[in-house]
Order: sequence, then C-alpha cells, then structure tokens
Amino acid sequence: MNFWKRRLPLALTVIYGLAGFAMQIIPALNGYRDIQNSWMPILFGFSIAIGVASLTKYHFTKMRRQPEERVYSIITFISLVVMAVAGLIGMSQDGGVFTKLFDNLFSYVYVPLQATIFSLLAFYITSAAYRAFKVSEWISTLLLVSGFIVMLGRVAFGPLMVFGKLSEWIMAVPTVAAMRGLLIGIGLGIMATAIKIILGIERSYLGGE
Amino acid sequence: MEAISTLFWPTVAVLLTLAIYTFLWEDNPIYKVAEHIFTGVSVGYMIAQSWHNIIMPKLIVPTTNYFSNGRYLLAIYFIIGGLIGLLYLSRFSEKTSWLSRYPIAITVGFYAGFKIVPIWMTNVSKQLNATIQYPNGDSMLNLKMFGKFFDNPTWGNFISAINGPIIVIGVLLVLIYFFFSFSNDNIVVRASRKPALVVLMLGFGGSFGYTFMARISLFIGRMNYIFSDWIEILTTTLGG
Repeated sequence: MNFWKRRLPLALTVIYGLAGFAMQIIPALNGYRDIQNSWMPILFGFSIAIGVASLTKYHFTKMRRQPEERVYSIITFISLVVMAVAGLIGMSQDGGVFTKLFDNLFSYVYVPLQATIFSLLAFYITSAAYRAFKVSEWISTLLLVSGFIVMLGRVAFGPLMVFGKLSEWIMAVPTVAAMRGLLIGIGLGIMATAIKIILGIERSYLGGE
Repeated sequence: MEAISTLFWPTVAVLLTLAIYTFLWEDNPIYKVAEHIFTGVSVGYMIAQSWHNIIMPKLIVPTTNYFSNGRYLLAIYFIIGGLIGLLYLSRFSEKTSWLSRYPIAITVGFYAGFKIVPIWMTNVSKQLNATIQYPNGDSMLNLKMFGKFFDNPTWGNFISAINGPIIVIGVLLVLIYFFFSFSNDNIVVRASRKPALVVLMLGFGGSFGYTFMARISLFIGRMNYIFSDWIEILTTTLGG
C-alpha cells in the first residue's frame, strides 16, 4: 500500500518535474510542451473540488456544533448552488433567464461585495499600522512617514505637489531597491524549493503519514 | 413592474454594500449574512468558471476533436488527465483522500520543473540586469552623472546622480539582510543591518501607502455608486 500511497506519487513528481524542466530547455520538445501546457489545466479545473469539499465539510461541522449559526451556513449553500447553476447554464447560452440571472448576480452581488470587502481593509490596515507604529522604534516610523508621503502624493495639488514628486521618488528608488532585493531572494528560494521537489527531498505537499 | 425590475438589482448591490460596512461598527448578523452570501457566490462563480474556461475548452472539446481527427493516443492522454483530475473528488471521503495525491503530485512536480527557467529569467536574471543598467543601457553607477552634477550643481542633477547608486546599494543591502538573517558576527553583515532596514522600511511604507490608496479608491467607488449612480437610477425610475 505504501507504493500506491507514497512511492508512486513521488515517482510521478520526479518524472513530471524532469519532463517539465526538459521541455523548457530542449527546443525539440516544443510540440510536447504545448500539449502538456494544455493538459495541465485539466487538473486545475478539477482542483476546485478541494475548495468545495473544504467549504462543505466546514459548514456541515459548524451546523452540527453551532446550531444557532446554522442559518448562515444555509445561506452559503443556497448562494453557492444558485450562482453555480446560473453560471453553468447561463454562461453557455446567449440569452435567457439563467444568463440574465448570472449577469445580475455577477454585476450586482459578486462585484460589489468583493469591492466592498477589499475597501473595508483600508480602515483596518490604518488602525493596524497605527497600533504597530505606537509600540515600535524609530525605524518603523520611517514606514509611517514613507507611507504617509505616498498617500499624500497620490492626491497632491497646489503647494502639496512636492509630496507628488517625493512620492514618485519613493516608489521609483527605495521601493524598487527593496522589492527587487525581495524578488531576487524569492526567485532563488523558489528555484531551490523546485529542485528539492524534483529530487524528492521536499515531500510536504504529499501530506502526513 | 418595470420600475421594480430596473431598481431591484442596483438596490441589492447597495444593501449588500451597506451590510458589509456595518462591520465597521461591530460584528453583527447583517454583516454575517452578506459575508456568507459572498463566500457562496464566489465558490459558485469559480465552479462555473472552471467548467466553462477549463473543463469544456481544455478537456471535452480537444478530446472530441482528437477522436474525430483520428489522433487516438492524444485523446486517451486527455481522458487520463480528466480521470486523474477526478481523483480530487476523493477528498470528500477520508478513506480515499490519499488518491488526491496523484493530481497534486503531478501538478507540483511538473510546475516545479517547468518554472525553474522562467523564474530564473524574471525574478533573478532580469532583476540583476535592471540593477546593473538602466533600460536605455546606461550604467546604474554612471560617474558621468556625478560629473554633470559638479558642472551644474542643481537639486535635480544631484537626485539623478544618486538614484542609481541608491538602488544598487539598496538591493545589495536587502540581499545581505535576508541571506544572513541568522546570528552572524561578520562586520559587513552587522554594519549593513540598519541601512538595510531603512531601505526596507521606506520600500514597505511606499507599498503600504500605495495599497491604502487603492483600497480608498475602491471605497470612493462604492460611495460613488450609492450616492451618484443608484440615486440617479432611483430618481429616474420613480420620477419617470
């Protein structure tokens, strides 16, 4: 059983890893690369099942343990089913009830809720930043000052235009230096992890046992 | 009846927006309803997207085409892909959930190998190149810029001269800071810690301000929708 549960998946990782690397560096394999590139998304397509499974499991457990919160789980399931059915049928038709329902759910429910939830973060990152700066040393004040200048610079007018120039400089010089250092570090880290995965050293993605 | 159908969905959008903002006061049932609707709708949307943008065009249509063109081996390979993808559904049962390791192992393995070269190109090689020279080919440590400043000592020339060296030294400091983050007594590593933090804090502050303004513009967008678009729809529909 160990073969089916651990060794074969690990062997597949090594085989597909080496094949993926070879397809990038050997031009003769371009044809296979194109086929494999259209084959891989098929697996992605089904991976949504993991999300649905986790959500279903979480809400069923919650409904059992917290009966007073049951109504929210029911709302989640109803909105999931309505949107999924409207999308599955509506997106394949040019008109009709389901297409209209899907368009309306997307434009008047999904998009406004997403934008509102993201905009809500503006209030919370402000209070989180204030609490963080209050207790920290002078170096973290730099973050506050630089953030404040960029915020002012984005809406600068008249005599405040100096903040516009300063904001441009902060975004073009220190931010570029910091982010570039991070990007290089992240890139090297990803490459090292990828090599560890292909060599079978890194196996955490296979879960416990 | 027409007025109701015109007003209904925009009003739903307004009510949901206000329901989310009630969280600013405190966690409450109205916010929870809106939050759970968002969760359900998002997952439902992803299911529809996966079907129409992946399963149909990447699996069902190509497989049918390969069969009709007589390319049976390719068709079988795509069917195997679909069957391996279906193994994700084994997650619904604890006994069979180990089967989902197959699609995960193939995905992780393939992209680990496939992404090494692009990651090297985009994250490392191009970033190092951009740290050495400007897009026009001039060196970042161009001493001619300092010469220009000494010939004509203006604030603009000074900034132009120091920008390149600040980026080069900043990148080096950040790299040293992260690669030697463990306890280290080397004098270069110790001396570079504070300057590296200064660069990082200025950078993070810039990103923070930028993100904050992006969120604020979303907030303005929502307020604009309520107080301009929706009010206009309301007055036009009810007034007309």
